[in-house]
Amino acid sequence: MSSKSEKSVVVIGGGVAGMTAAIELARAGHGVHLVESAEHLGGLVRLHGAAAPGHEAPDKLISGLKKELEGLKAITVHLSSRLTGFEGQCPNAKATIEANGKTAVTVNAGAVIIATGVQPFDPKRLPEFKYGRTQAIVTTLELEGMLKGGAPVHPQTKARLKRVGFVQCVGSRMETRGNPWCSNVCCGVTLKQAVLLKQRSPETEVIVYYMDMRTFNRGQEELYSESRILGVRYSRGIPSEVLTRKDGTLLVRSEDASLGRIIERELDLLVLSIGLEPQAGGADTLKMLGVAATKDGFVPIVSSEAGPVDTGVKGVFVAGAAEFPKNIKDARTQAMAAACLADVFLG
Amino acid sequence: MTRATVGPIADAIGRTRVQACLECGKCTAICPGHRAHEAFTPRGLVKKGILAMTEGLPCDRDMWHCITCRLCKEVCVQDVDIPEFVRAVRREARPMGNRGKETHDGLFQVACEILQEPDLKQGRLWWLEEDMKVKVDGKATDGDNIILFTGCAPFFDIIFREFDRTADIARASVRVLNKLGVEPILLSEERCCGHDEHWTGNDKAFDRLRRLNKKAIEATGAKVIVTPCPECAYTLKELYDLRGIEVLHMSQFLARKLMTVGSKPVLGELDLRSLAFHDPCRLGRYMRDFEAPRVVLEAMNGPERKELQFERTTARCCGVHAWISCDEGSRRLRRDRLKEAEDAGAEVLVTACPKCRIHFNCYLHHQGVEPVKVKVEDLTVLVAKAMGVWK
Repeated sequence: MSSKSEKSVVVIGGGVAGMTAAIELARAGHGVHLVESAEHLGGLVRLHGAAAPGHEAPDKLISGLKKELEGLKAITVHLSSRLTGFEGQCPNAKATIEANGKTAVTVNAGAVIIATGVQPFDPKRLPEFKYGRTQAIVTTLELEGMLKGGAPVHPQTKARLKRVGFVQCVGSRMETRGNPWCSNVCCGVTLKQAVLLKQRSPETEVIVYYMDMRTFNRGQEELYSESRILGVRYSRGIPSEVLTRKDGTLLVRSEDASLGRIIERELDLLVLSIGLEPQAGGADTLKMLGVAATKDGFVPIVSSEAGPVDTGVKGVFVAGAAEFPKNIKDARTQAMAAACLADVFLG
Repeated sequence: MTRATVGPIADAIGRTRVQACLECGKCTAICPGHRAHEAFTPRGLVKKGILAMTEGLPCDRDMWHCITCRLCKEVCVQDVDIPEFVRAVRREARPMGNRGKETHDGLFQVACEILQEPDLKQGRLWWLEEDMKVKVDGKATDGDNIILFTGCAPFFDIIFREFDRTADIARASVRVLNKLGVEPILLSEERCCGHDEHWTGNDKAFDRLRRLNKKAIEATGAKVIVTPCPECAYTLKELYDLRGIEVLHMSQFLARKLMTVGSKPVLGELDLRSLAFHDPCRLGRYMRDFEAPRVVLEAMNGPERKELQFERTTARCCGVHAWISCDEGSRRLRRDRLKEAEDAGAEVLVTACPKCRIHFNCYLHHQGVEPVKVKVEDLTVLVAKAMGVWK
């Protein structure tokens, strides 16, 4: 491994943030150990296969980054691996990386970048949506897969979709039921999927149940507008009752809070726009690194203004959704910043 | 329309988090009160509550349609405690003569008033049968320290005997306990637990009933209270301040007994094809016990278990609460829940609440309503049948 210093950087997490940080560090001349717990790189983005209109498909981005990684000899990728030990302090720390719970290697950790990402909310925690009870109720993540082909069909009957409903904020903005934060990306994911549905199958009725549509990211307000022009309908109010029928259809009851009226709609697909939350088991890694998780379980930063990538522990930086749910652009930007700071830290 | 002063409501507004409402409308979409009476919407009430901080609370009568079933709170992402807010509003509205539409000419409310007299001699145990082993107003000894708090079932029997012999639930409770070797203490001057007075904002009445019951309970020295009524169970457990005394719904008591008996508990055989379970709101959403009644049901062989569309946390309501607002709207709620059981293919809809059974049986007995082919039974009665002690 040819490197600027004897010290390598340990990047934990091989999603877009971790891959980006690893690439930038290698380009800057550092040795990198990229530790990924799954069998493959790409994290959550890998599962988002559908491209937004005018955008590159996220899974294409992943394969591009992978190619780049493979070309950089300074990067050692550890798949199916975890950080199981951490001794000393950066820049003189030693990290133990264990693959498949068996073989372990100990490497120099001059700096660490935490890029462990987030996990999708399990909608079974909100029984009113009846997720898991019928194939007609899916998550946005599952719809991503269905959108990889042409126009998606009903998972059970394989018929063309007549009416699709999206439910926003499933597992987000829940002050007392677990996750009080806005998950940041779900409105964008729904907009993308609603527009794709409408473009591929104009006769499919699409309705979005929402509390507030949040479209502050570049290009999203335009996408929101486009979706309305394409005929996507928006109903302010979240359903709280879903009746499942044997023929695969659903009867979904919500209050249209603008009208103050109950709306019962027959749908053949209900898509739950699920939020994002800290990785289960992420706390162990943080503890090893001497980083105290935030109250809600994310990786902390010193402050949004003064230290947006500093965890407060010397030489340990954070990048991507592990710090807070964010889109690809923001995750990669933070990863580049973390790589830059690690480079400066190592001199 | 009168307005309640802000002062007492302000406390409830803070306590119940109405200001945290994000106006998503989930409460209103799931609310049985709204389903039965369109004018009442929980979200609307919350909105009025927020405005009340500056303008005083407009006390219309619609809020009496709230059944306090807690479905709203169950689906609320901000944990706004709407039933508790409703209770606070009712408490303020009541002195202004704003009361709910009381059923049966206010008979139940009057009975509750009579029951507040300390010197009352009731004849409450008329339903006891000779072979039942009980200790009336007994003292707890080491082996037997269980009070059976029957609740108002024997009283309801007198009113509803045309279609619901509610005292059977008290009888079944004694027989089941006897079979398990328990000789329960009964209180000859047990009063209404005050559940309905509490939820209709009559704090004074509730407190009088609570004191009388508490005194009678504590006089026995018993350390465990078992009751077949989830309203009594919740009220005694959460609102009575009975220190050192454990309160259990009959299903909880039985589930615990079963667990300690063996690996595959069997209570006996039931001569039924199929059944479905209706979670009573006080046992389920209030006491958070969805398992105990199911453990007991599982221990009875014979009938096939059918799944309802809405069970456990989102179980639909039986349709009536506190003997108010019983009308065509509430009958629709009962019809829908019963039809849910019929659609699921259940021969019997099992509940674990005497009041649920009365409300359902009332619908089934009523002339001129849409017929539903399902029977309703109480869990304790089924257990008595399975154990072979039913007479």
